[in-house]
Amino acid sequence: MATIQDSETERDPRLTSDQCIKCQICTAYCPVARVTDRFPGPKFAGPDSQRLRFLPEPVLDLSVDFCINCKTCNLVCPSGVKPSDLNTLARANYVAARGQVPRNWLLGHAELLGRLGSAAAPLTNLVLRDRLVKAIMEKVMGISKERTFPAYARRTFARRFAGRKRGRLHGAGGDSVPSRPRQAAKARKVAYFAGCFANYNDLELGMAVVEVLEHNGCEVVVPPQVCCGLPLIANGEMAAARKNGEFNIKSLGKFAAAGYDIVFSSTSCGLTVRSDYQNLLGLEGAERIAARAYDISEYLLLLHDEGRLDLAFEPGESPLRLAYHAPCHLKAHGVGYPAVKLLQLIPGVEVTDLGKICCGIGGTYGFKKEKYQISMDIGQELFEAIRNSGVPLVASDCETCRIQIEHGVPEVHAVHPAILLREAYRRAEARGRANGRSAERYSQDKDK
Amino acid sequence: MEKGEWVVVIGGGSTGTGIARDLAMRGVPTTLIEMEDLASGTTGRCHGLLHSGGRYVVADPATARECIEENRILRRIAPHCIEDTGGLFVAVTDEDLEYLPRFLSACRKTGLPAEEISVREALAIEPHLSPRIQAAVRVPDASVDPFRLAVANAAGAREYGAEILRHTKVVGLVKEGDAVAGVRVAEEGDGRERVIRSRFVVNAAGAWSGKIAGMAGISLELVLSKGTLLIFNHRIVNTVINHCHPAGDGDIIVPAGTVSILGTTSVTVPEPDHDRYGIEDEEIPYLLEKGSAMAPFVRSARVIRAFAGVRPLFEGDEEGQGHYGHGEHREHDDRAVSRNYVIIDHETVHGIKNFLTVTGGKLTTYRRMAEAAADVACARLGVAAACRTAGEGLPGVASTEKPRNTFTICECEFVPRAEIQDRLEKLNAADSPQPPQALLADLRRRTRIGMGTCQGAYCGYRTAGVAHETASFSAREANWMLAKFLQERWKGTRPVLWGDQAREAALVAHIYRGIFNIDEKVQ
Ligand SMILES: Cc1cc2nc3c(=O)[nH]c(=O)nc-3n(C[C@H](O)[C@H](O)[C@H](O)COP(=O)(O)OP(=O)(O)OC[C@H]3O[C@@H](n4cnc5c(N)ncnc54)[C@H](O)[C@@H]3O)c2cc1C
Ligand code: SF4
Ligand code: SF4
Repeated sequence: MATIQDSETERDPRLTSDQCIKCQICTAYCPVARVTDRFPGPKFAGPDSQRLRFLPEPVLDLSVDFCINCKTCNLVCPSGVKPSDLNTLARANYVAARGQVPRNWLLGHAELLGRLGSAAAPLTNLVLRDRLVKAIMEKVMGISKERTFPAYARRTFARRFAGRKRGRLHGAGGDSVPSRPRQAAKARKVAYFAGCFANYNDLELGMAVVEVLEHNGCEVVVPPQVCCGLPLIANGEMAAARKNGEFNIKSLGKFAAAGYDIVFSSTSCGLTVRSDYQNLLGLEGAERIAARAYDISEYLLLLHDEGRLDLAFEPGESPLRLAYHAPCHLKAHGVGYPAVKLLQLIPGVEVTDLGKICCGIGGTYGFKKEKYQISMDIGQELFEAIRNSGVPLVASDCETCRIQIEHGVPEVHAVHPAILLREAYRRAEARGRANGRSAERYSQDKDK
Repeated sequence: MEKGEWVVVIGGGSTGTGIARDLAMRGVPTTLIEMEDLASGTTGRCHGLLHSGGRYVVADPATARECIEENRILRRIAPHCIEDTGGLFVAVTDEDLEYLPRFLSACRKTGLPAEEISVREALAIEPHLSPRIQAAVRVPDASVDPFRLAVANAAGAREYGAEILRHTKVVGLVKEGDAVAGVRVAEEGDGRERVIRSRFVVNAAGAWSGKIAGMAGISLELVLSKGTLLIFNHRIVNTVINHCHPAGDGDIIVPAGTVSILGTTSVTVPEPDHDRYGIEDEEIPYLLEKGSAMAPFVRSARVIRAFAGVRPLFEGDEEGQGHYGHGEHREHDDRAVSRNYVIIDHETVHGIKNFLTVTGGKLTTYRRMAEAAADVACARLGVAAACRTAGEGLPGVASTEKPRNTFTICECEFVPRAEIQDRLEKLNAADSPQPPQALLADLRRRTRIGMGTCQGAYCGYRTAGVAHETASFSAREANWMLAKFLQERWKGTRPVLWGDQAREAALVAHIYRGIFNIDEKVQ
């Protein structure tokens, strides 16, 4: 389809701009261009502007900063152009030329926030929820006072997992490649990339993922890992992102080489490692990891296809009606909506796909003062759809989507699908135990 | 005395507009007459290289010297028309390496600053250069916007009182005995003819100058040599790239605005009108092959358009013709004929008074040609004033501060609505009426609308809409200008219909034929 098919495009993603036929499909789908004039849309900010960026003194236009980095444009473009990547590179150039602003530096280094946040938790959470503190943060830092940072946990997931597994801590915390597999030879081996959110904020999610995988006979390890680097990329800090990427590739690479599949419970971390490491950062060895990388729901569905997924889910007391929101970055994985199929396997669960484009959070985007309103305007359609559906529960694979959903529709609760799967397994186990006891009794009775 | 009664200049290319300004600055009332638009002839169809002289330095040092001198002057007087890209001469083959010492020594002798740089450095400056290049020399080439240059010269002439008549064609010369006493012109719209009398006529009609001379019964031996060029979608290079060898085909790539241009060929054609010659199929792969020796990337980069211009090459070199050329002459080799200009004072050569032809030359040396021609005319008119064009800057064409936050009409070339409206007003206030069917093309030369990737697909209808809304063009006229514009854009896309440009063209055809029902029939 595209004419530039030689190695040049592979070396330089900017050259995909030559493939644009100006059809405007990307702009029609861009969630930001719909709600604000401050962003001219992916065609204009991407391939059109890229032509000016080939000039020796490229035009530095900060309108790309309003791109929410949802990658919808990459997905819908019929010509193989990657407007989102062009925007990201342009933003990085801008930051390199004009310098970084402290707020974006801080949001980019989300992992540092996580580390400090959990070290001082629960004090951090109290402070971050204080209205005065929020007002000051908005004034001084440009972080919207409407937003609340997710609560930080006192222990990290990595520690909790290591404690539970009696395993040693290693490097940045995590397992080393075991010399002998702990499970049967045929069992799938999983190296779990928890990501900052599960590690610092939502430990339950991390534990649920491990539990569900182990329940299905997988051997699970948690390799040493640092932030995937997406917040850094989104805030124009390419060099720092590259460093994180190199660390993760080295660490995950060892597991991949030893036959481990790499599983992510954050769609965005997964996408970054799977796609951006290679396409945007050009990191060496990225393709070896990408070949073994899976989103958790995608992975579980794969187990199901292989007939390995335990289907003995136990429904709850009453039938559960829930809505599903597909994160943009999940769509960018190009794997469909595996979570919907999984949830439908649970008896009594009724899932409606909300079918809306974007929740509007865009990772750190929606936390920025000047973008808060845009973020909420984008989300409006989704919020309404949730309200209209009347469900109490929304499942979504992405942590910031869940934050946005609960922010926009405070009366609903948003969860990761893995949490629901774990509950169904736990219920089944609990019943199994109960049944088991009665069965035992029955056999004892018979023996008599 | 009325303006036209002193000098009429025929031709609104770089030469004609340069002469008009030169004369006007000397206080000579002047009328410039152009049958189409400023820079619609060879000027707007050239490569846009502000020569350092490197291309001619071995074979024709005198021309090279003129180039470097004018290059320096134009950087001073027309900085807004020039991008200082610098140039590189790259040696690829072993023969090129043999040519290199001759090239360097000729540069030294001519006073042309040439600095050899390492291949590694050249590749760092221009990553798309062939990794096989063996040597690279840096020269002060630059990129010049020929449209801006001609428009700026015309505006400068007008500031000094000259009258600029566009879309007005000279259809005959007024003769009184053995003297030319004016011109007969027809307007593009209704074709009505009228006479403009003058004491002197300067024929600066470029490739058409033979036809104008013919109107006085003079036959000029011009060889018309067509050169074809290819436009790439983006700046594949940011420096002018020349193949370091004796001047040949397809051996220059010039970065120009958002695009880059590879050229040229040289094919003799019988007629100068661009609707009379085409672009031959075989010219395209030929250019790509030649260009790929310097930069293999040209083979895979997207080509959005092909276009061609015609050089008038002067063959007659009889004694006393006032021939200022410096080149060597060889039979059947277009390029061996002098590229330098000729000025023919027809009174001395043909016994016809008050008539002068100036033709040939280069865009780079337009000012010097204009000065020489104006000198002759002034001598005949008894005007003593001296040329001042080397010292005084051209008026700023880009006077419109591009206002932000107005709707962007052309998204490929970033042309805001305000700029288009501004230009529209200027065209409507010009000395001659604006024919509606030519409006979009005329705006294109002044704003770059339609010159980018989509070749007018989106800016075309938007601009026609603006013209209808703000400048009293009827809906029928707006349709007409749009159809004309699309047809003209299509002409240049057709020769390069492969890959992404073919996909683009298919989309555009679907939009206009399928949705808007615009076809050749719209008139
Ligand atoms: C392919 C090509 C590439 C070139 N590249 C370069 C380059 O890179 N650098 C450089 O310095 N030079 C270059 N040149 C040379 C340069 O373009 C020309 O020397 C220069 O533009 C000539 O300008 P002009 O005004 O003499 O002719 P033109 O621009 O042709 O002007 C003549 C004008 O006369 C008008 N006219 C004709 N007949 C009539 C009539 N009857 N009534 C009214 N008006 C009439 C025409 O419409 C035309 O606009 C190139 C030439 C060609 C062909
Ligand atoms: S990544 Fe999303 S927000 Fe950014 S340009 Fe593409 S579609 Fe629009
Ligand atoms: S980037 Fe793709 S979708 Fe957007 S206008 Fe270009 S070809 Fe169309």
